[in-house]
Parts: sequence; C-alpha cells; structure tokens
Amino acid sequence: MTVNEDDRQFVAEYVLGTLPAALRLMMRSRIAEEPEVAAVARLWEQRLAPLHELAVSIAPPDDLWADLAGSLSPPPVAPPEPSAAPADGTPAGDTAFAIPASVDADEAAPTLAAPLEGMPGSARRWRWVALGLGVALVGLAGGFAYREWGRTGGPYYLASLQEARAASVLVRIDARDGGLLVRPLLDPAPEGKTYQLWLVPDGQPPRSLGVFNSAFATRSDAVRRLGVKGAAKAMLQVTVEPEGGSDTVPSGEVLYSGRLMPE
Amino acid sequence: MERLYKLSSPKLYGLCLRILRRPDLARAALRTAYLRIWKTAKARPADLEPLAWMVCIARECALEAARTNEDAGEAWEPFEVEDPAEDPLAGATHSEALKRLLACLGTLSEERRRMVLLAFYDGWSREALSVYFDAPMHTVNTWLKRSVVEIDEYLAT
Repeated sequence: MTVNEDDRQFVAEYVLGTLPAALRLMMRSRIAEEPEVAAVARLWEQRLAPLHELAVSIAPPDDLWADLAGSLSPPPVAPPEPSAAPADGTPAGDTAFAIPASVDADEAAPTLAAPLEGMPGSARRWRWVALGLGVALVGLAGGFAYREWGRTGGPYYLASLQEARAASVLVRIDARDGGLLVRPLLDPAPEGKTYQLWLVPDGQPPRSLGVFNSAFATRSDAVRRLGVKGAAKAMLQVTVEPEGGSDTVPSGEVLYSGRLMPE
Repeated sequence: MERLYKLSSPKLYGLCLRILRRPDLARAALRTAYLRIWKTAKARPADLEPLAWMVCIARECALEAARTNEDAGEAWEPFEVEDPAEDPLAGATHSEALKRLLACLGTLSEERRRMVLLAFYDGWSREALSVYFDAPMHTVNTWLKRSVVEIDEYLAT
C-alpha cells in the first residue's frame, strides 16, 4: 500500500512540527501503526535532522540526570560511545505523552470540534472531527482524568490528560470512498452496553455507522453517499445502546456529538 | 548511559528550551525524551544516525508539550542564550547532509525558507506562522505544502 500525497504532506509537517494538536495525534498513531507511513516519517526525519547541527546547546538543569537515573531500573549498562547504538535500558515508568482533548468540555451543550484550520475552496477530502462532551468523573474535582489507550503489538502508549469532565472520540472520514476511522478516548461502556456511532446528515434521521468499544476502521456507504458537501453539514453523535446496538434509531441519550471539520 | 546523557543533553535541552521557552516545560520534555530514548533504543532505526534519532525524539516530546500548553512556544522574541554550553559533540565542520539540506533550502523563497526554519527550531505551528507572517491560514498551508514538495523534489534526486 502506498501513502497518498495528502498523507505524505501530513507526515512531512508532522516531522517539521507545524501540525495542530489533533492532527498530530492522528498522524502519531498512524506512524506507530502503519509501516508505510512510518517509512515516510523516517525519510523526513533523515532529511531535517541535520539542522540540529546549527542549534545552540544549553546545559540542562543539574538535577535532571539524578532524576532520570532514579527512573531507570535495573541500572542500565553504559553504552561504549554515543555514536554506537545506545544500550538498552528499562525505565520504570511508561513514557506517556500528554495530548489534550481537542475540545473543552462543557456541562450544558455539546461542544463543536476544535477548529482545525481549513483550506477553503479546495475540496479537502479527509475530514476530521473531534467530539467532546462533559462526562462527570467523581472524585477528580480540579484534577485530571488519566486515560491510557494502549495499542496492541507496539511499545507505544498514548495518554490524554484532560479536565475531569472531558472525554472525546476522534473520528476521521474519507468522503471519497466512505472510509471511517474511529478512536475513542473513553471509559469502557457499562456492562451489557455498547457505544454506537451515528451519522446525522443535514435534515435527515440518524443512520448507524456501527457499534464500538474500542478503535475501529470500516467503510460506510452512508458516508460515501454523503460526499464532500454533505459531510460539511452532517453531525456525528455517540449514544450508549444495549449490546449489539440499536437497529434503526438511537435509543440512548446522546453522549457526544460534533460536526465534521474539513482538514 | 550517563556518558550518553552528558554528551547529548546540552544539545537536546537547547532544542527543547527553544521550542518551549520555559525551563520547567523543557526539563519535563527532556526527561520524557530520555526515558523514551532508553526504552526504544533497541528498536532504533538503523538508517538514522544515533544523534539525529535522539534529536527527533527530543523535538517530538517538546512539540507534544508545546501543543499541549497554550502559553508555551508562543514567544515572538528571538531566542537568546546568555550562557551557551559547550557542545561535547559539536563538529568543527558541518556534515554533508546539512550542506545538502541548506543548499536545498536556499532554493526556496526567502519567506518560505524562514517558515521552515522557524518551524524546525522554534516549533511554530501553522497558526503561529500565520500570525507572524500576517497571512491567512490557508496561505500558510499552501506555502508549507509547496516547500515540502520542493524539498521533496530536490532531495529525492
């Protein structure tokens, strides 16, 4: 599978650093999961990294080494030379990257997706949405809800540190072929229940895009029929439904909702 | 391990601090970077020079932090260092790869070259670049896109 031009562009900008938070999050997970995308990232890292030779060096805080050494257990073996492969060590803690929910939680109303800057006029085919709505988490007032979303088969973990009430679902659709990618950052659905994603085209009844309890990817005729124009006006909603999902209409309360934003 | 840290940390801290501009955030980002470096050392890509690989991880950690903290990485004033550390790894000459990249960047227009450098060294997002260059977001996106295409073409040969 080759990487299309749009994705190559995103990967280059990921490495350069210009992508906004939500796009970074998505590219990061794709680099971790898709070898073809990772290869493009590696290429750009190779290309741009030499710029570091012109960067100014600054002594880091004195206590940082002691702090790091304390996090390493068992004591690692010192590598012979920095130009040789660094020796392997096993840090005690997982390396977690904090990525904020791209929307602020709001108690009363569904919040719209964070405004990813668009490219007006040009038919950007990939569309994104980040959805968020308040979820009460007892006992975390003023603190942070810590979510970890482990991926199978890789050493990477992703964490989203959010305000206690926030949770989110990342949805990416391809209006050309109906491709659908869903990455929930949610607590698991209650026992015997499941999350269900609904597409609500402008002025039409909701259509199910599938049930989920974890990340999934699929292709949907409903999304494809929507087209680029329809996608700009459609809403997405997430409800909690009985196991197996609801056949026709959402029966549960809408937990999350948001609009599709052109990338 | 300590030796690796001693040799590389001034370089990596310099990169993190320039992107984040706040010593507390730069310290946290650098800490995360080293933990990740040690954790993934075995899987280190063979085609990337070790220091370049560490630089990539450090920049990634700093950029994650910059996009997470709204008040970080938004400093408009030029980055000034009162007390630059001596870099144990500094080479007397620039590498061939750097010369080639600089020659490539030299073919971009002045504005687009500055844009790439500001993004790399200062970690500026499309949004920050849009404000700084006083250009609409879609213009910045187009410039970045053209720069990527041109760099791609130049370095692919």
